[in-house]
Amino acid sequence: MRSRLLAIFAAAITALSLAPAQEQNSEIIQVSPDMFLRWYGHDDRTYFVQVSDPNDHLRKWTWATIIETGNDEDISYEVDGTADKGFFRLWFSDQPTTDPDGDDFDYDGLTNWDEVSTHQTNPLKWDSDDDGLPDDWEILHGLDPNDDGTTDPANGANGDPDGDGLINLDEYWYYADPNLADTDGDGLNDFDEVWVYYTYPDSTDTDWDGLDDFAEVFTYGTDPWNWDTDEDTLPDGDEVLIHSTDPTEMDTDGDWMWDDWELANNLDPTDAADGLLDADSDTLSNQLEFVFLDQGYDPFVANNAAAFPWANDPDWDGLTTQVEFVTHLTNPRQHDTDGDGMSDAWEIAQGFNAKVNNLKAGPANQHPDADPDGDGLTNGEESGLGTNPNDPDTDGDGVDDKTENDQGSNPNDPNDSQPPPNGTIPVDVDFGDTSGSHSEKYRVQLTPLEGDPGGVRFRTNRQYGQPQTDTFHLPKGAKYQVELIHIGTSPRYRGTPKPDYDYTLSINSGGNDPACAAIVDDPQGIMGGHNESNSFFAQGKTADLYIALMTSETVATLPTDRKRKKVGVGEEVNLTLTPSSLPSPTWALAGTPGTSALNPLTGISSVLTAGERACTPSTEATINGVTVKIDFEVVEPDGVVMEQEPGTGIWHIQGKGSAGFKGRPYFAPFDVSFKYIEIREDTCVGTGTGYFLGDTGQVHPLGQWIGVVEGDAAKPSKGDGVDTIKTGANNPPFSAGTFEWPIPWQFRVGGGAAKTFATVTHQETMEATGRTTMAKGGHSVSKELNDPSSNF
Amino acid sequence: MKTRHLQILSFALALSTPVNIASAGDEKKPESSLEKITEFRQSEDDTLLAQQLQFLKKQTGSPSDKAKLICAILVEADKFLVNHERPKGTPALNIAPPGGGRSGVDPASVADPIERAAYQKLIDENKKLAETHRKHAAVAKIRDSAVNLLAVYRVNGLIDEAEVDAAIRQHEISEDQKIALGQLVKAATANKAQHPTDGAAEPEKPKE
Repeated sequence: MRSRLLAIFAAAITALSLAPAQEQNSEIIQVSPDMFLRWYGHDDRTYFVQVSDPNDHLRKWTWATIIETGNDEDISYEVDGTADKGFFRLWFSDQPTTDPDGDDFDYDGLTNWDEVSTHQTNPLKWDSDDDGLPDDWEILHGLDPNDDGTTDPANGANGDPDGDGLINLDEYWYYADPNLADTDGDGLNDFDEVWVYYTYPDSTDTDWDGLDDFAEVFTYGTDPWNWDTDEDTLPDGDEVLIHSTDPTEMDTDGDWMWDDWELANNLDPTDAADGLLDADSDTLSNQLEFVFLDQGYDPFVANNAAAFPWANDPDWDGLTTQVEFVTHLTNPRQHDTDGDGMSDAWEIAQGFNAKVNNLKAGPANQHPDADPDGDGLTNGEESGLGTNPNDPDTDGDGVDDKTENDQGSNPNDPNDSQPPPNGTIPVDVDFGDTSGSHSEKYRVQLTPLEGDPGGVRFRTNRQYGQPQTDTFHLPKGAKYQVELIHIGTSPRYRGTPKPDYDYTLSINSGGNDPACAAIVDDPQGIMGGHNESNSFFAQGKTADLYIALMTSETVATLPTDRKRKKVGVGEEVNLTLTPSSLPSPTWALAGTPGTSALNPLTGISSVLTAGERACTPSTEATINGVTVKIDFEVVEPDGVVMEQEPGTGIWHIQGKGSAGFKGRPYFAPFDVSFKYIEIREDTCVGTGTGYFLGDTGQVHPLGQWIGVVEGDAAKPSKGDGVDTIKTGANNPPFSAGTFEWPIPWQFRVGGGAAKTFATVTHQETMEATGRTTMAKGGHSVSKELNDPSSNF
Repeated sequence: MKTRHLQILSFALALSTPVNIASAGDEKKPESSLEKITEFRQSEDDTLLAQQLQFLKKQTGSPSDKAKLICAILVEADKFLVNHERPKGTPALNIAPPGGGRSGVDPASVADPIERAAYQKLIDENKKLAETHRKHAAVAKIRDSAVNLLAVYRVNGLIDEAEVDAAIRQHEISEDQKIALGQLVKAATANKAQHPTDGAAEPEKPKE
């Protein structure tokens, strides 16, 4: 047993830290003065001791300069001092060691002995104050390793002693000095390096390209993180300091040949004139052969010039290679030589400079976003449509270009100014190269097959490797052949294979017409993402695009609106899908169809038979998983309007209180047809007053079923029979009185159950003078007693 | 152990559910058949024909078989219309007693027996006229519906012209009437905006 002396003095010890939380590898021992702090020292276990501040027991602790190693025997320290009791905290570690004082158990860069004797830090924790900053890093930079920022915020993780905006924790992680605003002294402060330019704050040249970070950002406009900003394989520093080429342009002199390639072939990357030279004397110039490298041409190997494809238009910009190269010196392999989003052919046709990127230079009215003719289409959009940017109505048909584009007519065709008869829906086409290479450019082309008298519609990727979503306004009921055409590879792309032909293609309909949707039939599988790389999957393949439209036409010719979606009970409605070549539609009845029926359930047409009662059927047709539908409202008759039968007059017997007419019933509402119902009058009991008091109780018997036929445009449904509506021949003496039959009217469909839908009152009115009025269903006639006329 | 029992019970219940649903779905639906359609020949009850057509519209099954039944309805309806000319005269909802009484009144309330008998006779004649009118119109609508439906079947390629003709020809009607009905369906088919013209290749017949 070893014995040492420990003293407990009241207020004699200055605590350097608050008590840490109870740790697994520690225990607290209470010892009174003149007693012993004693513990069993396990073999090879290293012990450290903390002493509690007698004035703040168990909260403030200080490390005793004790490091003991156990040897399977008690270790004892005699305790002495002026306080009435003392608390000691015993820490231990089982790390194997031969030098417990000189080892660094917590790997924080400080020896165990220095931690307890010099720094008062925990030898078993690399971050004594738990602020995320290691003890040695804090000590190295003058921060307190026992203060997590509670005492002085500058010491904590969020502290910022140098005021550069970068907190201590980030300074630690990014190897910066918390006391220097610009650790590496490159002119960019630490915060900007980390969070703005993503460069290293402790390195003046993050990408090791020979240009310091500051110069890359503020002098050359290069990427301080990318040693080869323009990806021409020449380091930025070499381009600036050795070759005098532009580190941001792969082709400094604009002769289509890469800087590094020119250097490797002893051409001058700063002189465009060497592009027009013919190194191999095959009559094909260097730069022309360069852009056809992938097709076997080489500026330094004589090729067969006679076989050169001058007449082709490989970039689909509307200009042949010969016209592009010989006449305009635009790049025949780039749809948009200057990369401003407007095609070469269009720019040339409009008097723009096809070799000046109008995003960066050129007149303001030639910027891709400018709209010089004020028609609502930008130059970029007019380029895509092939319209004149200086004429709001390119084809002069009286409808401006934007309106034509939106409504689905052709802005370049003076004979096509009206919207399609069924209108259009917006169809979004997403296409382009989504792969990491960002190298390819495509054109999506819609060739009308049905229902669109216009020509081919197309859109072209504005940027290489940038997929885009373009909206076509396509006539409802049309059908198109969809093609994706590869029109070029970025001149910047240096990967293999070149081209890599990666693409994505998808088509989705927009708009809010549930009866219309875009449906793609893609048996060859060209839609979706394709990364076959070595071959163009969509080459020579097509898909069909249907702008499927469900239309309806009532069989009843009245009301005249036969496309109405509100129909009478029992009405038949013919439903048709266009275009007629739609693949395998499947029909279904949804909504609340009641007794409605839909038949047949396959094919492009079907017939809805409305239910016998009010309901809300929805007719749906599903094609390739896409559903189009029409919601119908089926209504019952809700009223009877009686009109005097044409060609008839008023019945009367002179000297008798009498009046009558022949009526024809019409059935409301008048915006549907009830030609499929039958009607009858139900029985009821009459009520008389005054003169007619004695008729009270008179019965109106049940009538017979009468058909309903088409009436006129204003009142489409009328009874197939007339109603004789007359009083009796009433004798004097007369007095005022009325007689009424409140007659229930019933309807049925197809011989089904009867339902009362209205009460039509037969009403006779007698006046004291003998004047008599007969009224029913809103129509009435009157006759004076001595009126001699009668025309029934 | 208790948990295991619960799992077994739950599994057994899950298995039993589809059986119940399946049995619930076995409800017998009204069906159309040639026998029921031809009953109309004797009864001349147009509601029978209307119901058969409605049943057909709601039934699933072979479009070809359904088309044959629709043809049967068409033939029966047309035969009725050929044999029953649309009656002359206009039926009335109400008529008046010949002696000058209130129109629509119950004959029982007519005191004079002679006048009552005359009134009843008028009522009966009107009722007969109205029913003949109604039935003729109803059957005509059924025929039109059948023609429209057959035209849609034709447009959809569910049945071709020869099948329509064959279905019509198997009924005992005059040769002229068979030709006329075939022409009726053909004309209705041609009148539809979206259809293959007669003589053009028929679209493939999908299964309904």
